[in-house]
Amino acid sequence: VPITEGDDVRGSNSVHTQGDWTVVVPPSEVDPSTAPDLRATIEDLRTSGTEQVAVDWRGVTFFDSSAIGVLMGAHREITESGGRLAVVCATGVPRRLFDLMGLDQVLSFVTTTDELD
Amino acid sequence: MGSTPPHHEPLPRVSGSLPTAILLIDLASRQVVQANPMALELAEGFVVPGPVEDWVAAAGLRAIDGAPIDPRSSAPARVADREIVSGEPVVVTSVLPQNGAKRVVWIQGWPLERGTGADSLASTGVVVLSDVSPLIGVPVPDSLTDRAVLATERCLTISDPNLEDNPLIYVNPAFERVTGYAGEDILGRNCRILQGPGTDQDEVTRLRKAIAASESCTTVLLNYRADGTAFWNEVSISPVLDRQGAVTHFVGVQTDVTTRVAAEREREAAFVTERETRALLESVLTTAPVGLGFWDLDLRFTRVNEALAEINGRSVEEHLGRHVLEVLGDDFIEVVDLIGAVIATGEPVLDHAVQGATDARPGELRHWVTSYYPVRDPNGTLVSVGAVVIEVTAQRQAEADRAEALERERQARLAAEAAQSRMALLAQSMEALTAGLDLRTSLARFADLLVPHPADWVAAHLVEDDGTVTRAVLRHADPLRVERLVAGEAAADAVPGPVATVLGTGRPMLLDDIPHDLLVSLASDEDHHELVRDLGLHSAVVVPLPSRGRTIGTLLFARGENSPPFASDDLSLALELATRAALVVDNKRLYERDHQVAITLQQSLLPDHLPDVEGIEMCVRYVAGAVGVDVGGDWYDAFPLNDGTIALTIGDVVGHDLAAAVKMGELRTTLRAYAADGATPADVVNRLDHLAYQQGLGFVATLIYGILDPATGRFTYTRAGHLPPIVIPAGGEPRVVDDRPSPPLGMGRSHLQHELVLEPGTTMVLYTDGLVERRDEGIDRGLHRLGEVAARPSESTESLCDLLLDELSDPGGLTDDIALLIVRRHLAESG
Repeated sequence: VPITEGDDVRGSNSVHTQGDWTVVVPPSEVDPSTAPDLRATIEDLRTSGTEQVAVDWRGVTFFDSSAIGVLMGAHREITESGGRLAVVCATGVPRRLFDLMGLDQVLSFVTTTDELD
Repeated sequence: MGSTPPHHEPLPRVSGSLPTAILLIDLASRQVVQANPMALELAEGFVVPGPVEDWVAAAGLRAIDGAPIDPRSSAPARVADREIVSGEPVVVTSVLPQNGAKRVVWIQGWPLERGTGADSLASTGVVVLSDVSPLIGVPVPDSLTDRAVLATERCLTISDPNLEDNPLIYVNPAFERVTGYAGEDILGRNCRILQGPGTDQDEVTRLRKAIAASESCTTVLLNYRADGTAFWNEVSISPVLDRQGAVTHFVGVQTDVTTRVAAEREREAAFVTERETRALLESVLTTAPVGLGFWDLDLRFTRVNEALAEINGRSVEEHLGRHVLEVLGDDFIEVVDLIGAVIATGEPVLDHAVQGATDARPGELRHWVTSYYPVRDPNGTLVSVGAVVIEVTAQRQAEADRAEALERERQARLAAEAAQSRMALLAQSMEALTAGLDLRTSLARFADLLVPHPADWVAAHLVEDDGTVTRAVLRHADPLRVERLVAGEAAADAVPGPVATVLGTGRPMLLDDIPHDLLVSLASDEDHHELVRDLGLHSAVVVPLPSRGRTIGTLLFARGENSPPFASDDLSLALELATRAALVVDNKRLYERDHQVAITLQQSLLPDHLPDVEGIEMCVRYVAGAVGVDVGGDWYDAFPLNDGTIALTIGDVVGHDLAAAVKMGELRTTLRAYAADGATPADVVNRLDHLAYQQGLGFVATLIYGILDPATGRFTYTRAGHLPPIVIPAGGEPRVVDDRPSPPLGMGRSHLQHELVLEPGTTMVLYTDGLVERRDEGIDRGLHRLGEVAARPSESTESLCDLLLDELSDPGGLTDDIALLIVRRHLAESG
């Protein structure tokens, strides 16, 4: 993921803002070795008052249940704080695992960051 | 034409220019009807108009060899006879150059006919006589050898000043060739078309003024051809006057003199160079900051310049007539020898370094480079010795300063490089220590980094939980040489004396020589002993691995053969490495223990035995993930319900080792409690979800919980975010059950219940993601592969479990944990 000027780099995740949304871009593999960083990044945003967080999943090539854990936990906590969590993810193969796990019923998916309102 | 131009002055001459005489001949009457001033000058007494032969006679034209020419066959007469004269040399005898030499002119002539573009001059002949004496030198040789010079094409142009802008009305073919302009393109235009960016505007102005004043003018201009190339053009413009003295035409004769100009430029440049060289020499002799001195053969100064006088601290006058030592003092006795050598051998002595103090700055050591050379009179007799003295004191000082600065810089750079490589080594070692999955792998990578620099030999000893000391790793720069030692188990158990000492004291040791017992302890038998001795180890450092107040091991570094002994710098590096290694060893041990506890707990929580149900064969597996991976709490469960059905569960609690295992245990126990009172799978899962949501379990779990009726094969289940079951009918195609999933537990959502029927002989595989997820492919590929392998013929669910784990374990090695539950309904006849 290219880091553009102004990006706030936190661990292996990069963070930038787009309109009212704060977009977190995780590394290409979200597994037990990188999931804790992602969790911490999102948690930092939430506790510092960020209300609308989008996780840009388009560059993710592999993830496992640890990633699901992060997204579910983040969803729950952000929602309870009155905020919103969106996952940016193309349809088709990238979305397949999410759909298989029934996460499409819980998480808000958009296919591009342009769809964030 | 009885009048000559009012200002009959000699033609302006530029260096090497060719004054041009021009005659216009009326072809009908063979009369010279117009002549320019030069033409009149050449033929004194000739009056215009007059017969062409009269002009020839008056000009005294002769052949180049001096023979008389019959005026009637002369070139001007032939032009009058309408013959083109392309060029021939003649001698003009009427006007002699001042030095009495012959004046050679080059005659060209063209009869102009109607239709040539010069209609106003139709039936007129033009004769041009150019003085070429300057070109061929004076005196003129009798035979003209350099005809090439004379054969230079002359361009003839005629312009009409009575038309607007004095346009060209005639150009000869030579003009077309030289300039590259075709006649039709250039006729009607002013001749300035030849000018360009490099044309000297002062010369152009001079030419223009002459034309305006109806005067002749010769100049050399830089002109440009049609294709843009430049050439030096010698232009002679002469006005042609009518009887009333009015200008009717201008006749121009142009010559490409580029070659000549180039040669002149070169000559001039050479002259300038020579003059500059002389000036430079003069400058050197008088003002250059180089000492110059001359002695007679008695070694008395005959001449010195100011620079040398200043060096010596005496005035010029104080030198003259005095002996060299009288001026310089006895310290410079070697100068006497050097001058003497020149006198004796007649050969110069060059670049001899002299140092000393002169009266100019007493007591200050100065440096000079001196050269001595013989000076001879025109007969070759040696009459004097000259010397050049160049002061180099400042340069010597600068060199010394520079050398010192370079040395300081070198030292600083070495120190910086050492610090940098040390930092790099520490960083790399940390990377190696933390990268490995288990402790031994990490230590091996760590040790690989440390040979052959900073050590030839590295060993790590660790104190185990039971207090024994083992060698965890051994590396030598040449792995082949220690292969047997590394492999030797006996050696691994032997604890070298210094290692034991450091383990006891917790203080590092720097050994200037390797004690015998250390060598012996490294070797397990006599062969090894020899091997170790051959390594030539001579210097060693043993440092403790400190952890929380204890020494948990040592690092041993040794150097052999060509390596220098360890110094205190090396000891501090070894201590830093040890600090890092100790931290990692301690952490990894804790982690390994933690991991082991988690696995133990996990496995203790899994059911000891499976329900024994008629018509149903079941098998389960749990495989723990590798150390260093945050394994999830994968689990399965199977237990009989009161109504004869069986409860089946597979699940995955996401989280860290121990915590995940504990949560899995809670989840399993709770599920069993909820399942016991005859609730449907959806009820059970919804209650679990509610509980997890209410309590904010802080973890995420996926599971499939279902109830299998052995009699009918009906399997009623709820899938909470878990990967779907795979069903393989007997001899049929595997199928990933395409139900509608519900979200994982903990989200406070209601969950759907599904139903499927396992026909006799059908196998159902429940599994966790570790079995199907790969880094390099999508989930569907993994599911497909699982179905494919599961569809292979298998005697029992046991053998199918083994087959699946064998075939599907991630070859990448960084494995997640895996739980697997396989159910197969017996075929009717065998059941």
